[in-house]
Amino acid sequence: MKRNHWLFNLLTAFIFLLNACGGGGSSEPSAQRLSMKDIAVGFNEMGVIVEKWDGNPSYPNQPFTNVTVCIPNTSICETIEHVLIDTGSYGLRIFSSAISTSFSQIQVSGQPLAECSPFVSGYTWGTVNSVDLLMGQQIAPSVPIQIIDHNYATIPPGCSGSGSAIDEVSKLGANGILGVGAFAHDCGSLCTTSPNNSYYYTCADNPCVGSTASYSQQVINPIAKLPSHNNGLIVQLPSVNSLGAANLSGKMILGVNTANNNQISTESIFELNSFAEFFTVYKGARIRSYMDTGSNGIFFNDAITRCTGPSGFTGFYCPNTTMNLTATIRSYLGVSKTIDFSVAQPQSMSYPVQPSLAGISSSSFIWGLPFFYGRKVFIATEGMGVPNAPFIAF
Amino acid sequence: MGNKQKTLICFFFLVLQTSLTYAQLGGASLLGNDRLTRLNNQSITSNNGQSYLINSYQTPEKTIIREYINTSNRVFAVAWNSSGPAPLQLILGNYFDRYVAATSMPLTGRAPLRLQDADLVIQTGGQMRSYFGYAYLPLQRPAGFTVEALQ
Repeated sequence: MKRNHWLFNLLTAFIFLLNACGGGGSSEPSAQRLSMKDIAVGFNEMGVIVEKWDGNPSYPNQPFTNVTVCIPNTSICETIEHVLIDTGSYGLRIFSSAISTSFSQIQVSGQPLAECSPFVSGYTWGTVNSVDLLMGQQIAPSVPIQIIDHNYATIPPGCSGSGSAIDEVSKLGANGILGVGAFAHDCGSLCTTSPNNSYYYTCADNPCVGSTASYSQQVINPIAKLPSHNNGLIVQLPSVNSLGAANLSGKMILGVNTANNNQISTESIFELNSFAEFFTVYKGARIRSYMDTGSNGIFFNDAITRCTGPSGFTGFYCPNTTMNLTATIRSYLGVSKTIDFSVAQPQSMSYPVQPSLAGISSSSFIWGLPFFYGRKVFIATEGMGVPNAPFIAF
Repeated sequence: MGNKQKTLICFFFLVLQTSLTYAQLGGASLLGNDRLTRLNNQSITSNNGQSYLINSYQTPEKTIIREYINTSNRVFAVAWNSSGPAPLQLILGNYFDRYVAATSMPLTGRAPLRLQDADLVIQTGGQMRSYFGYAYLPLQRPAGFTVEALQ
């Protein structure tokens, strides 16, 4: 009796701990369908807008586009607004609360496929589903995407134990993420061979178990699935007064050197390593570095005054006056270019466009969205036939 | 089952529980965790003469973990590289909740985390397929140990 009591207590504690470790979503759908301004769309072009909207109370410098997803081979389609354009990830992810159409879930050996997707600020959890995706005026057929739903099955401990749950629209400040970085698949070769990859799970039974996912099952940068103009993109945004702006519109041009509107001419090419990185040299130090529309500032290491207090801008720089700084972007092959940038105090969300927003990162130099203002930046995807890809060019 | 066996079983459960909830930053080494493959270990002397040990491990998911152990056998710093979701609950141990709280704060950047408290520093970074980070306990690091040693 006593033994049972002991074991019972221990097991109860154990189960409690497992539950406590299991995370779990509190997903109050907070998505509000606003009518986004009409944004230009061409055959291989998609509109980009930076603006304030109700689903994004917190983050300046978030570039949005619209995506239209359809049940494959049907005309049953739905357009999702305010999807974050992210060159730091691969594949489309949409909150289940922002979508009403049901899409069939991809199966691995007859088992429904789910995914834990890593971001530097947290993870998204949900099912992997197949959609036809309209981009510009082309359709990417049968594209695996993630439908983010933290109430799906039970989030595996390997997922909840990786960080914070990005389980609501307001936590992302967007209805979804369109990952269009320099690789195609979100996981790559590891997931094709090993079920212990921390990305993919099958959830026929509870708990979900680690699963392989072939290249055709992995969530993929959907540009790579287009019939043409599928080897990369250009992000082209206008320049902004250093004081900031209430909104801005630009475009994403699909393809690199495939049409008159996406030719590389005088731009310098910076080849990327297997981490999609290059170097930046700042104040004499050479640091690993990347370019990311999904980061909302320029993040680097300096002794500039840091923001304090309840502003919430912990981790950002708060100089008294605007500072003008210089850094040099350098590829592994030695191509280099000097970049001028500025740092100013963060402003309220009355200014969703903040070209001088910058913060602290001591281990890498991150060129977030402010870098893209006033530039035309090419990203050539690996494995899609562009010589020397993956690379960025500007 | 005798009392001795009972005690042993209970002790085993307690240890199991402890190892799942209390690791590793600020606590004992990950050594002995059977999910981890040990890569190597290295004894280092900091630039003012205090020594510390670095152990490195790989998880089955290919995350590389380095732990830095001071002369009191406590992990005072950790660093990691991962292609996917990293086992930060394991790596950060009791500090994981503070990591989650810091990355959950509204109005922080859509950006890597830089947490700089008197007793805890965390820096993360990376893009999908390649994440990295480090964390250390400023009050427990050996004199002369600098952040550069973590990068």
